[in-house]
Amino acid sequence: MAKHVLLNNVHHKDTRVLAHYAKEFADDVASVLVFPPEFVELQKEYPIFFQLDQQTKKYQCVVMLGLQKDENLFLSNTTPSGWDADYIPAMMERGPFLIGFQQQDPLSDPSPVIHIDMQHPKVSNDKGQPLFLEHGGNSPYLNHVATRLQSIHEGMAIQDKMFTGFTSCDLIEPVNIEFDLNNGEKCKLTGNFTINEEKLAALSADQLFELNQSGALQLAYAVVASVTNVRKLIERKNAKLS
Amino acid sequence: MLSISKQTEAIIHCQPGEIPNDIHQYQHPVVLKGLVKHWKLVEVGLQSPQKSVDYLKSFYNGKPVFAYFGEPAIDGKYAYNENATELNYESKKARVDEVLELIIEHLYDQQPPSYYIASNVIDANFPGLGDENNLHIPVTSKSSATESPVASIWIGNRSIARCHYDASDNIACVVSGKRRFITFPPDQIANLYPGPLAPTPGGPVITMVDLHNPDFEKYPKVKHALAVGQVAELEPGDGIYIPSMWWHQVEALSSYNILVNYWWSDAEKYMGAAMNVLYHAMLSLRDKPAHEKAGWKHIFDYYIFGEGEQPTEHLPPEAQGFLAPMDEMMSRQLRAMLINKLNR
Repeated sequence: MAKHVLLNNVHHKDTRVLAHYAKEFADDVASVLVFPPEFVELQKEYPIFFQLDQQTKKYQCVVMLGLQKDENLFLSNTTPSGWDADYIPAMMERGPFLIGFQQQDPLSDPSPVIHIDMQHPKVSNDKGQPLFLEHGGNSPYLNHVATRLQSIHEGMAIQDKMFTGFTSCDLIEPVNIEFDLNNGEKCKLTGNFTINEEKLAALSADQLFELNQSGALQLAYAVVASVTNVRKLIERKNAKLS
Repeated sequence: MLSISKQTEAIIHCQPGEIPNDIHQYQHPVVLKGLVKHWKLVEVGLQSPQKSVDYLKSFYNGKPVFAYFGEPAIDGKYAYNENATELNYESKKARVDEVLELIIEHLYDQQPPSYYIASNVIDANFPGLGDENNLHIPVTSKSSATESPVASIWIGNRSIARCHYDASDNIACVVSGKRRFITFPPDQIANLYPGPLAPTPGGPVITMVDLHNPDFEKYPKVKHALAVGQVAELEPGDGIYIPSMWWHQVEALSSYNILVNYWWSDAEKYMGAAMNVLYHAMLSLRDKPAHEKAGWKHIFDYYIFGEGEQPTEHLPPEAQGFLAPMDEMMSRQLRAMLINKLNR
């Protein structure tokens, strides 16, 4: 059971967080939510797709980490972080932390604050990164986590605008990915959406201008460019099988 | 019974809309009789609360505001519970028109629930209202000032805002209902028994003393404060100037009250809140060994509270560093240094 509490330097004076990645921390996930501010970095290593959230009926962004359930092909025993890529998605890096909202004073709107899940397997009292300095200042690790949470928070706002832009230009299409592994196994991934490259190329000057102004145009191209990373994933999988 | 006899000095020949140019020369509160009696908002209020409500609603843009809601038992005395750990009322988001309706609904109750929309920037929620009810504050405000005069409106039924101080200079104008202002000079802090630093009703610390019924056994020194305090009762249309740091208790005495006030501070914006200095001093100074702390008192007197150029007059300009008069760029360096040193 998750136990979310407001992080503070009194209650969590001695709390540490294991900042590396491993199967035993439940990091073996086949996909993870990502946000538009990350696209430029993500497109170099991960395939970015959209999926429909069954509850909200809204699109959300994911990167694929594995080709079957509970498979994360980026987990690695040979790198110190346990993750074999230059860029790690913010939702993975946030670890046990999440954004909460707190009314700082009764006369203003709630502002974002950091919460921590004390039941999270990465939370420890003796191992890992300290959250606070000796006298209660923020540790460099906590400051880093805060910037990652900040980009998730900002990304959520940008994301809705981005999808409005994409749908108004009718750019989103479903995509089925089929491939054979070296061991002869046939695989098929469904439920993903991407940018229709032809429609993107055929946008009118007005549409291009608008998408560019809103910042969504370069995000669309990042998504298109990221699709080739599916091949890299398959290579990772084949390397593991051999 | 309030045992303060001194009446606040009043300028009784005030021209409506004319604040004396030398207002900030006053070292004490001054009543400005009839200062805003020409306002439409005052005029409709004198006709009836309902007329005033209708007039306000015609400007309201529908944005929610924070409002205080109190049980009838608190009788508008916004303060603390028994052990001063919580406020004795609730602050929550509401629509102005709904709060106005509630006030009207309970206008003739013997013991109405308490409703208060406190300190609401007029332009943010009542666009246009300020044009018809305008007051020029004669301060030469620089763009780098902490706060240039901005009109805020306070709407409620009976209320007592416990004695507190604000860092900004203040001109408050009574629009509807009668209001009593009880004021004390800044040096009366110890005699006024300030409450917790947090929570507070609106930011500033409030006195723990019920000035109308003081518990002299618990708060004996309040007698000294009462001896130097002053009181003013204002009618619709009257204004009052309250200098920065003066303690003031503001009491709305009628069943329907409106006040409009203007706060300003000419301090450079980069300075930030002096309260932060106090908190920092509590952390790093207050509990230092007595002889060490006593030494620091001299240091502070020399560098901070002293007069004039003393710390720099014997130093060449190029050697003065942070001792030189502060400016925007230097304040940035100082802030960066402090952030760095504090994060430990």
